[in-house]
Amino acid sequence: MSSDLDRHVKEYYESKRLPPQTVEDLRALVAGGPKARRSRVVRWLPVAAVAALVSLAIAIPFSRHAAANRLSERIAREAARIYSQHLRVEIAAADYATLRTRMKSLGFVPVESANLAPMRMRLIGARYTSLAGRPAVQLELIDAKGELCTLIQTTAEDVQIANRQAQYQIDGLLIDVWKEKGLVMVLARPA
Amino acid sequence: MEEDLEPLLQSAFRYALALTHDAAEAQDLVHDSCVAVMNAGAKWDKPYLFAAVRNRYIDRYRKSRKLLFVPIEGDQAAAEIADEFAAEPDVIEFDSLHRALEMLRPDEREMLFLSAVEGYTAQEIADMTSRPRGTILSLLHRTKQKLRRLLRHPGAEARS
Repeated sequence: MSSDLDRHVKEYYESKRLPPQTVEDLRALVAGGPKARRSRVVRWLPVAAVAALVSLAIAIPFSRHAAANRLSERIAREAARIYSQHLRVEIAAADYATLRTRMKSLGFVPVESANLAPMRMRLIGARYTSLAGRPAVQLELIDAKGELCTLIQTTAEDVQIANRQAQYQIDGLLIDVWKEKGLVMVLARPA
Repeated sequence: MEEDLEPLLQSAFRYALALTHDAAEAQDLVHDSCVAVMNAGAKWDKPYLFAAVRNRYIDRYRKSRKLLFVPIEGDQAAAEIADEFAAEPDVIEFDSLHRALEMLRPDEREMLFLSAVEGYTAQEIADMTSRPRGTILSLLHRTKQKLRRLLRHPGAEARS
């Protein structure tokens, strides 16, 4: 009756085919039965587990690094505040040996930082203070340009900051934070 | 069974395409239908897979409130004007046919597909679609008239 129309419709639909990959996927699905469907999930589990471990391996150090950075910055801000108070020295001393004999209640001994050697700083005295909630010494120094600088030292035990030196600019001050000789050292000076 | 599976899948895909007129939706429908057949532990034959495709289609598109299958009595107006343009066009372009098929309702495409492509008789289609044989014959006739009309006058009829 309408053979031409039927033929065209037939040709139209017969030109339509599932993509080969879809056929393969369906074959695999059928071949595996209901278990195959579950195994799709199971197959991805190791990948998901590896991805999770990799994420953790990246996230944990990153998180630690971020926490260390936050602590360094907090210490730097505290040092800036201490510097800005311009409190008088309690013990006048031109050398570290004097400080070591006179400041025995710190739980550690003040030391000369190797980092400061190139700056040719001159020690003028020290006072007790606190940093990050622990006893600290505030050393007062004069740099080569005659600027007053403050070096704060406290024990580095359990203080999780990066070993690498960090530098901040806070309220017109240049603050360096680093670890050296088992101590946390913070140098505050005019920027 | 494995060797016979691809022709069966391709047929199911074309049937799904007749219902949806959308290749991506048809692929999804075939996938869901295969899963249903597999979970039911049914045999892999055309009647069962086609029934699964049809049922999945109805389930899926009933929710989206798409127009699926309308009572044939509601199609009288179209039938009355159908003969006016009933002559078949001299040349049927592939794209024109694609657009004309798009203008048909899903049940019209389904009838046409089952008849013209799969070669089912009106009684077989009636059994598959749970409709009276007379309704199938009437719908098939009107659908072909409508399709010819759409092929001759593409803008003559909005999708009903």
